[in-house]
Amino acid sequence: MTNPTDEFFQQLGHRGHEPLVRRVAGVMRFDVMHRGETDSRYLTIDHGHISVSRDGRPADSVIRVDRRVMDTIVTGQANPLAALLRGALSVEGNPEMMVIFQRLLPPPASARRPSAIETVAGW
Amino acid sequence: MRDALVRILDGNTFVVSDERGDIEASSTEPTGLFSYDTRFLSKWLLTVDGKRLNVLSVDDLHYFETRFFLVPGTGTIYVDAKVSVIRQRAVGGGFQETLTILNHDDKVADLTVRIEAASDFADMFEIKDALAKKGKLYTRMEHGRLTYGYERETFHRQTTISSSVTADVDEGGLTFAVHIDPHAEWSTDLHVEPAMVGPGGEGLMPRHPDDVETRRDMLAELDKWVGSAPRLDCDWEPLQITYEQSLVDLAALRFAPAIAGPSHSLPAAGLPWFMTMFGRDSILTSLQALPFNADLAATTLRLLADWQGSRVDDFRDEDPGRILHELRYGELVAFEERPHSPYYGNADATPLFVVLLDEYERWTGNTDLVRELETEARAALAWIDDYADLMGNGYISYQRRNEQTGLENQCWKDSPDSIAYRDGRIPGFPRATCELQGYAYDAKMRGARLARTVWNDPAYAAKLEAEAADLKRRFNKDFWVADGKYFAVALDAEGGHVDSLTSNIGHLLWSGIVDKPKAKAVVNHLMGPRLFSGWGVRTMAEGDGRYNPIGYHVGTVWPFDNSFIAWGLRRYGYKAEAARIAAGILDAATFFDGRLPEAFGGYERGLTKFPVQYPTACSPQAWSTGAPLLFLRTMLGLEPVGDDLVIDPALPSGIGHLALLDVPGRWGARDAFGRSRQEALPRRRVNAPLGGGGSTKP
Repeated sequence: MTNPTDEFFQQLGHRGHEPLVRRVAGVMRFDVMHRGETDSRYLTIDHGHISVSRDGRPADSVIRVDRRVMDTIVTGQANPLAALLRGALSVEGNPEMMVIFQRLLPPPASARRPSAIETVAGW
Repeated sequence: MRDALVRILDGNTFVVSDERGDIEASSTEPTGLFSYDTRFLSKWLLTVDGKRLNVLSVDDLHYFETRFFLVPGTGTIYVDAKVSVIRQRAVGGGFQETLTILNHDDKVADLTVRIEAASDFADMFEIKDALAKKGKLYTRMEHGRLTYGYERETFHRQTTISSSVTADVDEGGLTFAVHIDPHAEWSTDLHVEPAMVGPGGEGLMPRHPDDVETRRDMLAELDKWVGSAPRLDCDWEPLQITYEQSLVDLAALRFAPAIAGPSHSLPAAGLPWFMTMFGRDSILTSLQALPFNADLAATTLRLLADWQGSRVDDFRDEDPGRILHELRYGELVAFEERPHSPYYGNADATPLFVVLLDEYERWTGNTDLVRELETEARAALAWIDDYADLMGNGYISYQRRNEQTGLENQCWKDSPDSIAYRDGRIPGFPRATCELQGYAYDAKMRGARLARTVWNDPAYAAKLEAEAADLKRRFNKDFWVADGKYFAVALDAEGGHVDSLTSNIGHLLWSGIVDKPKAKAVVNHLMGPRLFSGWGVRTMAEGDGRYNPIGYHVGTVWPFDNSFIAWGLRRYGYKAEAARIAAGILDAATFFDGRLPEAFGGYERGLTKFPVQYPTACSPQAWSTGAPLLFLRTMLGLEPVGDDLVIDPALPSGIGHLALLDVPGRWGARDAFGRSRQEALPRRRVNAPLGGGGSTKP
C-alpha cells in the first residue's frame, strides 16, 4: 500500500534537476520507522542533480523519523525544524543539508499567494 | 531591564541573575539560565545558615564569566564578616559555578550552605506573553544529582545539577554541611547542565564541552578576535573605550546556530530577548562590521541563504526568495503554536541580503561567495517584484498573512504605533514604508553590478538597472511631501502619504534613491531641531502627533539608525553633518561606559545633559554595538573603490586625530588616518559636547 512518504520519494526521484539545491552536494539517508521496522532511503544531491535509491554511499546526514511524522512533513502539514525541536525527528551529521532539503518540500495546502501573479521565473 | 541584573553568555546560552548571583525568576522576569529559548533554571539561591548573602562587589571577568564577592548578613552593616563567599560562574553549554567560602576567623566555622533550585522550563515566548505550561514537570534525585525535567509528548527538556563535593540532595536543592578550619577555605564546583532530549535519550543539539580547557580556548579566541581587528589610535580617549567595548560585545553576541554546524557564527540581535538568528539585525550588524571583520558577513549571508524561503506558507509569512525574520527553538515553536521555525515576516531583510552580498564583495573581493549564492540572490531580487508588491503599484509593501501570531509592522520600526500620519492616525494595511523602496533600489543597483562583474549576465544587469531607475523616478514623485519637503514615511493602501517626519529619510540617503536636488531639504530636516536632539536623529520628529521622547519608535534615538543615517549623509557628500551625528552618539556612549544601548530618549540634549536610556532596551545589542564601528568608517570616509581603499576623513570637532591601522580588505591591509586642525578635548571634558555645542540648529 502506498503512503505519502513513499510517493514523495518516488516523485523526488523523477525530478532529476532541481536548481533550488544547487549549492549542496552530499548524501542524505532517511531512516523512516514504521511498526518497528526501519525503511532507509538515500537522497543524493549533486549540485542540483538529485536521485533517490534504497542503498547508497555513507551518508553525510542521517534523518531518523517515524513515518507518521514524515507523512505530515512531506505533505507540507508539518515543519521539519519544529519536529526536530519536538524530539520527533533527529539529525546526525551535517545539519545544513536538512535545511536545504526543506526546499524540496511542498507548501501547505491552504497557503494563499500574496499577490495575483501566478508563475514566477526561477522559482 | 534593571541595571542591577548581571548577564553572562555564550552563544545562545545565557544567565541573568541579580548582583548576588541569585536567580529568583517570576513568570514575567527574564532572569534565569536560558538555552535555546528555554529557561532551564528559574531559581538558584545561595544561603549560609539559612541567610541570604550581601554583595560586596561583582567582577565581570569576561562576557562568559563573572565573579561575585559576598558576605553573610542581611543589613547594610555586615554583622558577620568572619566568613566571605566567592561565586565564580562561567557559561558554556550550561554553567559552572565555583563556590568558595573563606573562614577569616581564629575559630572553626561550621556552616550550612544551601542552594535552592527550581526550573520552570518556560519558553521565552511564554515569559513575554505570560502563558501557562501544557506538559508535565518532574524531579529526580540520584547519585547526588538533582534533575528537573519537563515532558510534553515527544518534547523533553532536562536540567541536571551536580557538585564536586557530595551534597544532601532534596527536591528543592542541595545542602552542604561545611566545616572550615581557622583561616582555611572550602570549595565546591556546581554544574548545571541543560539538555534538549531527543529520541532514544540522545541530545538534540551537539553537546557543549564545558571544562576549563574550553574556557581557555574561549579566552584565546576572544584575544584573537580583538587582536585581528584594526587597531585604533585616537587622541579622544573615550573612543578607544567605546571601540574596545564594541569589539568585545560583538564577540559575545556571536552565535552559532545549532543547525549550521559549529564553525559558523553570526551576530545575534541582543540580550535578553533576542539571542537568536535575526535576518535584519544580522545583516545590518554585518554591514556595520565589514571594515573590521568580514567573516560575520560571510556567515550571515550563507546561513540566511540556507534558510531562504522556498514556498508560500501563510503561518510563517513565507514566500519563495524571502529572507527569514527570526528563528526560535522553544516549546511553542516546536508545537507550531508560534511560527518561528523560521518566521519570515519582514519586508527589508530580502533586499538588504543583496546589499550585504555586494558590499561584502566590494570589501573582500571574494567572488566565490557571490557565485555560490547567485541562485539565492536572484531569488531575493525576484521576491521584490513578484511577492512584495502587494498593492500592485511597484512598491514593496507588507501585510501579514498570519493574523494571530505574525508581525504587523514588518520594517525595523516594528511597534504598533511606529508608522503614523502627521496627525497621529495609524494607517491600515498594506503599508509601503519608504526605506523599503530605498533598499529595493539599492539591491537592484548592487545586484546589477554583481550580474555584470561576477555572474556574467549583462542582460540581467541592464534589466535591474532599468527597473531601479524607474523605481527612483516614481519614488521621488510619489513619496515626496511637497508642503514639508521630505519623504512620507509610507504610502497607505490608497496610495496616500503617511506623512509623519521620521528618521527613515536618512536611510533613503544611504540607499541612494533620493534625487540629488531633494537631498539638501532632507539633510536640513535630519539636522534640524525637530529631528536632531543634539545626541542624534530621533525616530520621529518632535511635533508630530505620535511623538514621544521615550516612545520606542516614535521619538527615541537609536544609535544603529544614526550610524546608517551618517553613512547616507556621506553618500550625498554631507561630511560635516555625518561627523556631527557620529559625535553626538559617541558622546552618548561615554555615559554608558562605551556600551551603547538599543535606544535612548529623544529629549533635547540641552534639557537633560545626559542621554536617558530607554526603560526596557536590550543591552548589549548587536546593531548598537556595531554603530561605533560604522561611525569610524563614516568619520574616516572609508570606501572600497576597485582594489583600493579610499580614505576621505571628516572628523568632528574635539577629535584631533584618528587612525585605524591595518584595515583588512581586498587591498590586503591599509592604514587610514584622519586629522583635523583642532586639538582633542581634554580627558576631563569628555562629556562636553563633542559635536561642537548642543545646538540643534542646522
